[in-house]
This record gives sequence, structure tokens and C-alpha cells, in this order.
Amino acid sequence: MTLQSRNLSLAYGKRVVVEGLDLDVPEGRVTAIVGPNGCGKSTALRGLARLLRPTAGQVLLDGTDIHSLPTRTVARRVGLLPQSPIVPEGITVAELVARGRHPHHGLLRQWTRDDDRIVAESLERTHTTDLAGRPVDQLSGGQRQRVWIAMALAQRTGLLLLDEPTSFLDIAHQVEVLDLVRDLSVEDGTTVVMVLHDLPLAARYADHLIAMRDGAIVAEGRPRDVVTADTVCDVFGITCRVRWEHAGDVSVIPLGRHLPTHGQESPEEPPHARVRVAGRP
Amino acid sequence: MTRTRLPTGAVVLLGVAALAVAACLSLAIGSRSLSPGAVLDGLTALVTGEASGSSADGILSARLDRTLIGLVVGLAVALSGAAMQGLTRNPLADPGILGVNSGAALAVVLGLQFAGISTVGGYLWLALLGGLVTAVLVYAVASVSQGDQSLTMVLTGAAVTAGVTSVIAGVLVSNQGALQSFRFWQVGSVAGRDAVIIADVLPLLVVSLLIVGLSGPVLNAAALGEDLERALGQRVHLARFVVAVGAVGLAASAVALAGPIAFVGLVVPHVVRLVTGPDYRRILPGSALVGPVLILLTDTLGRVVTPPSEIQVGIMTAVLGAPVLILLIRRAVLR
Ligand SMILES: Nc1ncnc2c1ncn2[C@@H]1O[C@H](COP(=O)(O)OP(=O)(O)O)[C@@H](O)[C@H]1O
Ligand SMILES: [Mg+2]
Repeated sequence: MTLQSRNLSLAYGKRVVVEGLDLDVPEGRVTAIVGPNGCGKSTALRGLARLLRPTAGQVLLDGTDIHSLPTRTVARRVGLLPQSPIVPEGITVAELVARGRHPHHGLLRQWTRDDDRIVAESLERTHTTDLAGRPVDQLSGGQRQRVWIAMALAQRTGLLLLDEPTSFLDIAHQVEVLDLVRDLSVEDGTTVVMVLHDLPLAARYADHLIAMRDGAIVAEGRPRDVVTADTVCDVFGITCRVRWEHAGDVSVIPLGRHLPTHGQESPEEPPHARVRVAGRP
Repeated sequence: MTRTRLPTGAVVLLGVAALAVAACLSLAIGSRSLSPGAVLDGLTALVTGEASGSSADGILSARLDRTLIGLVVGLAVALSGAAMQGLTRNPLADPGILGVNSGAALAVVLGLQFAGISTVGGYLWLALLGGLVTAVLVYAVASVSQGDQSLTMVLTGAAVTAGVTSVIAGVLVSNQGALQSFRFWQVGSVAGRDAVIIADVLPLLVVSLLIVGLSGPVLNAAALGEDLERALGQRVHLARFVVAVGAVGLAASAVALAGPIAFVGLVVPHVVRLVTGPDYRRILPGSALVGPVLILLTDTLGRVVTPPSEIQVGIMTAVLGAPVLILLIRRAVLR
């Protein structure tokens, strides 16, 4: 399943937020979108998922203009987890995950045993089976995020768009969610596009990195080619030191205005100032 | 920690049992109470058409009328409220609070006064028109507002109700002769009407009932927020529009039968939710059963609290519903 955008422009009313976006989502891979707040990451994702009608250009799903496809057909192929979805009051984990089956139902096609099985599998996949009967509003952030992903999995789409699945999570829960994303890609061949804020984590978990600024792509490619001091400066407007290690880990140290900088050239730096992330893939 | 829910079958069974009890009470209790035996005898006589000639027959026949009307009105109003709460994701939504009931009543009163319309069939379409206009107005004001949409919606509804009620009162003052019959359009009542008028509202009632009755999955998707609703393959505007018309259709049917009845559409879905959880495929049938129970019980209560006179059911539901509204607002604000 391929997802592409061609010269895509998206706007809210007169306000153009994304302009001339050309994007080829690599199939079966994990793509991460990074960029400053308000640069249009969520908007781009909403455009890709057919939630917004483009003001120019188009989104192609398997080569077909996504707006020429019925809503339901798209929903069976592309799943989207919005940045802040609403948890209905008192809903349990199993009930929430079951709502992911919505696009597969209609007036004549009601709930079946197949749906039960798919919900159970989605819970299992996200290690939330034990939580099935718990109210979602009583879960920890990490558990809750896994439950949302389970709901998206129950939709059974080959393509998942996740908007900031790790925001507001502590580092352990971020790794937990990202490991799950990696599993989905490696084991199930799911194509994932996610918006992340943490550059080292994005570099470590994504096969493909897209850096956005002001509604356009600034850099795109393998994480090693994208995460450079120049690009970070270009995208976020900050000076920082970027160090790549042979294992594919990267540390990004913002220099800021107040702390002693050791100078950009100096390769020596105190070990405690490094941001390093250990985790799997 | 784990939450288990009552199976749908058990919920329906409970609802039907409660409804049967409420209907019996509504038939038996009043200014003159009838024994269960007398009720049974009278009902058999009515069904077989062999009137025994006793005075109980007349009482029972009138009570049967108001029980049947109460049943239909309770069902319509409660379903309408449940659908409105789901559509707007607003726990305070209800045809009374959002002004739809009073909009419908105003249209009826204007038609009555200026166009001489005086059949229930005529009231029905006036009520539908008035209800739709009000719904569009309240929705439009809420969607252009910058602040909290739920709150704006409720405040706009309250403003509409206040304005409309005074217009109705104005018409009433200019038409002293109709004072008694106009009061009905200010506060609803199920008393003193023949149950055959139910047939007059049947076309709109059945269509609206079908739409709202089948809207469980639509409302379930809507509960997750507009983005996710779309991502789950729902055609948001179309689905919302159709269900909203159904909800207003139900409210209009109820107004044409009994005038505006407040708070039932607000309270019932919340009570039902306590048992069913947030699944609208269960909330809707639950509300359809509990709505009539609430109407019948409050109407019956209204017959006995101030003997020998009766209190209209619309006043009773408002008295009982107001504290619930305050409770819900407190919860919404504290959340
Ligand atoms: N529904 C909306 N209506 C109007 N403007 C919006 C809407 N959603 C986002 N925007 C604006 O579009 C810009 C990009 O927003 P968004 O795509 O959410 O950014 P990001 O996800 O990168 O933080 C922001 O300036 C935001 O204010
Ligand atoms: Mg965003």
C-alpha cells in the first residue's frame, strides 16, 4: 500500500498551513516527522488521512486520488491516531478498542465473532489484554497510549498515522510505545508515519526522517543524513551540537544562551551533558 | 478496578419490568384510585368492547389515554435527548435545554393564533419547523463562538427559551379566551387528550424513531472527537445532519402531543448510562424504556401531591430535573 502527496497544499479557511508538499511514504517502514510546534505536522497528517480537503495538489493512496475514494474505503486502509483524541467517559479498554471496528460495519453488517477475535488480537499485540475491563480514564499515560494504538490496530489498516504518540510520556513509556511501533513495522509489515518531538528517539526508531518547517519539508532521508547541526539550526532555529556514534545513536545538545558552550569545534565535552537513548530496535 | 456490564438482555428485561410497573401505577392511581382488580376488569372491558357501565370505566379510559400518550412522549423525548447528547458531545444537551422544545411550541402557538391551525397533524409540522429553526440557530451560534461550545450551546438554548416563552406569554395575554389551552404550550401535559392523536404524529414519529434508533454506531464514533470520527470512516456532516433531524423530529412529535416537557431528555440518558456504560447501541434502547417510566411516574405523582387538583407532568419533571441539571453542571465545571 503506497501513500504519496503531490504538490499538496492545506489550509484552514484562508490560512495556508501546508504548501507544495511532495511526499512518498516508504512502504513497510517507520517514518518520523519532526519540526517545531505549529509548523503543520498535524495538518499534514490530517491531509494524508483525508480529514482535510486540499486547496491544491492531491494525496494518492495506491496511486488513486484519496478524495475520489469513499470515506469508508479509506478508513479500511489508513488509520489515524489524532494528537488528542477524546476518551468517552467511563469507557473500558475493550469497549474503546472495539470502536476501531467501525469502518468494517454498516447497517447490514453488524458485530461478529471475527470482530471479537480482532479486538482480542489487538489487545494482545499491544500487551493490554490484562487491562481489557479497566476504565480508560484510570490508566497511566503509557497504558492509555498503547490502548489507543490497539484501537487503531483493530481498524486493520496497513498504514498507521500516529500524531505525537509519545508526547507527555516519561522516557520509559516513550520507549515502550516506540518499541511497539517498531514491532508493528518489523513483524507485521505495517507502514507507520508518526510525529515525534524527541530527535534522538526519532533518529533511533525511524527508518526515514522528515524535517518540516513552516508547512514545507526542509530535509528528508535517512536519520543520519537529516539530523545534523545545520538542519537542526535550520528547522528549529537553535544552535546545537550533534554527535553521531557508530551504533546509530545520536546526541543533540542545544547550546542555548546561558550555559558555557565549550565551543562548537571542541570534541571534548563532559559526559553528563550528553543525551543518549538506550532502547531497542 | 475491572468494570463488568450488565448484559443487554438483562438491561432490556429490567426496563420492560419497570415500564410495566409504571404503567400499572399510572392506570391505578389518581384522584380516585382503582384496585388492581378493577384496572384489570376495566382493561378487559375496553379491549372486548363490553363496557360494564360503571364509573370506573370512564376514569380508566381517560387514564389509559394519558398513559399511552405518556409512553410515546417519554420514549420520544428521552431518545431525542440521548441523540442530542451524543451528537453534541455535551452532557447537558436535551431538547428542552437547547431550546428546541420551546421553538417548536412557539411555532405551534403562532400557527394556532394567526393561521387558525388546530389539528394535531398541523401542530406536528409546525413543531418540526420551529424545532429545526431553533436547532440550526443554537448550533450556528455555538459553532461561531470562541469559548466553550458546550456552554455556549446551553446558554443560547436558555436565551431562546426565555425569549420564546415571553412571546408565547404575549400571545396568550392578547387571547384571553384561549388561556387554558395555551398554557399547555408553555408547560407540557399528557392529560385530557384522546390517545387517537398518536396516530396523527405517527409518520414523523416512526421515521425519526428509525433514524435515531439505528444511530448507535454513528454516535459511538462521534464520541471520539471529529478527527477520529472521520478517520473511522464516518461522513461526519451527513451523519450528524441526519441524526439531528431525527432527534428534532422526535422532540417535535412529543411537543405536538403534549407540549414542551423539560429535563426528561436530559436525565434519562444519564441514568441509563450508569447501567449500560458509554455504548450508544445500549444507551438508546435503554433510554427508550426509561423515558416512559419517568414520564408515567412523575405524571402519576403529579395527580396525588396536591389533591384535589393535579400538577402538569411538565412541571413535575422540571421540579425533579432541576437538581439533576445543577449536579451535572457542577460535574462538568469541576472536570
Ligand atoms: N482547526 C484549525 N483551524 C485553524 N487553524 C488551525 C487549526 N488547526 C491548526 N491550525 C493552525 O495551523 C498551524 C499548524 O498547526 P498544526 O498542524 O497543528 O501544527 P503542529 O502539529 O506542527 O504543531 C498552526 O498555526 C495552527 O494554529
Ligand atoms: Mg500537532
